[in-house]
Amino acid sequence: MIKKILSFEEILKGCVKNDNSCKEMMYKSFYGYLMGIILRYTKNPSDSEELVNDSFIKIFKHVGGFKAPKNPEELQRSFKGWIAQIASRTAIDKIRSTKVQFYVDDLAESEHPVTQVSVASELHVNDILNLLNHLPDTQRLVFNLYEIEGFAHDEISKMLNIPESSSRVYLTRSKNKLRTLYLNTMVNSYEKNG
Amino acid sequence: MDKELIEQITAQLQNHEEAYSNGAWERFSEKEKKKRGIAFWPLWAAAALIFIVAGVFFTLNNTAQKQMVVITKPKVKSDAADGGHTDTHSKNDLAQLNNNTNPSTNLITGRPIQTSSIAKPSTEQRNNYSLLNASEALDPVNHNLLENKLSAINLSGLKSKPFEILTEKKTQPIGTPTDFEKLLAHDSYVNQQKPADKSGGNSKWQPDVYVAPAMGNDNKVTMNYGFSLSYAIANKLSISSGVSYASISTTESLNATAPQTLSGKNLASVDAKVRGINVPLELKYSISDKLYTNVGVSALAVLNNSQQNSYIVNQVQSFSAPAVNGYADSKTMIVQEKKVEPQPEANIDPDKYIGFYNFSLGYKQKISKKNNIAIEPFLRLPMKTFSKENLNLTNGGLRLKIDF
Repeated sequence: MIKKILSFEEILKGCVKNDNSCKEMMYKSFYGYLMGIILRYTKNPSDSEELVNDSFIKIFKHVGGFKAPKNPEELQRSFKGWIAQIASRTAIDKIRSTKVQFYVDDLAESEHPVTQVSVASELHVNDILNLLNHLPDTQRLVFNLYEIEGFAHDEISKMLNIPESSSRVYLTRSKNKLRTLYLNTMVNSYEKNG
Repeated sequence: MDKELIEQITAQLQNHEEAYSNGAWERFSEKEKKKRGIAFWPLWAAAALIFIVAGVFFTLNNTAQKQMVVITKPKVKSDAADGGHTDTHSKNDLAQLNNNTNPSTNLITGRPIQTSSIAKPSTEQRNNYSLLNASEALDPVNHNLLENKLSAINLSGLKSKPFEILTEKKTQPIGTPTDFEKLLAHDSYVNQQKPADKSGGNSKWQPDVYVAPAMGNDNKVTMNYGFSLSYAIANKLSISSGVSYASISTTESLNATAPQTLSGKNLASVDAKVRGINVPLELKYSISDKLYTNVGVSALAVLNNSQQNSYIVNQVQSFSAPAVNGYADSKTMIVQEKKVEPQPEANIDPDKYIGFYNFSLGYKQKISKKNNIAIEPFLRLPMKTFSKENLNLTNGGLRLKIDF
């Protein structure tokens, strides 16, 4: 069967009407996008698809409530923003539920095994994700929320139930750790490459 | 450099999208279906409810529906008639035209004109159709052109053409509603037929016979035999009634001591046996394919009621034994004895009916295509105590049923 190529708006309307083929198109076109977001939060790759799917369940359930912007050109962009928020919330909820003592600082983790060898001069996403994987969960989360999602510290503190000052501390620590990790990786690779 | 690193990370991550992994959607939709099956059952229930209400509505309004369908048909006819009307009008005009050309007929009043207008149409119509058919055969594609041509050529052709178009145009918009109404009518017809079919077949009515050994509080087994008929009012719910021969026995022991007086007697226990025709009314709910439960009430019409009372009575007995010295030694003793007497007719409970609450849980097993056997432990609780001795007629047993 030849499927009609639908515009994004039509797909969105179809999803509101719970049309399965529209949902499929929506899923397939935003799977990668959401997976990219989820991977920033989770170390465990087996969890990631589950989280993506959980996000999609929420998206399809609440897609009727998505308010389209007045400017139709911004539709896709604002929709992406909306689903990104859902995905990150889903990931945060998951991290929260798995970690009972969420905001206990894991500073004890002093040594980070550096296994990744970066060959390319420019950092590749996989390398970055690997660097992130070496961050303690809380630091990683705060880094994500602040630097990538663009939340302010007061928002993060509410989201994670931590004091605002802790959020700042975590951010600084995460950045420092990333830098040292990066340097170590680079040094290692230089050493390896001679 | 440090700043660059973080910026680079941020930029990279923000723009990063993973590739679509094959089969992800399939996994997702499968998972969602499963979830939906569980999570959205209230929706299904609501849908079922709506369906039932709609079904009832349609069956009740079926006669009205049918009328509507009938009404629509005359509409089509009336349209055709309308078309015919314009036609006759045209013929009237034509007739008038003819009349005008004929001064002699013009002099004659109304009646002859009418007759001529009536007489003419048939021939006129034929001519028109033949004209139309011929022109359509020549140019069947461009109808608008045809219309124009006709109007240019023939006045009667113009008049008859709109008639054609009218009917074509009008039947189509009517066609859709009639389709829709037909659908509704068909739906309601199906709804109406369905219960009729089922009640006609054996699927809704289920007769069965059973034998049920039962035991009351006296540990005596009594037998019950019966026939019951159940009618399925819903998928899992059916209502059943029937008739059965029931016999119930019970005993009541009183803490009687020996009577104080010599001639007195104390009632020690009462054994009662009630036999009658039991008519139950029960609601049966199928928990699963094989398990079901029954809750209901029944009325027992008493045919025979016998009570036997056991009394403790005092009896004087004298023993005499010869002693060694030749004297006879005689002793008189009061001995307690049990004596069983049937309850006098006058004292037997006059109740002709006894009400029971019935509870049972059954297990059904198919033995052939049509037949099932079922084992059904049951409990019968009387609505009130029986007779003045407060006999408790509670009994329970095992019903062995055969459906057919």
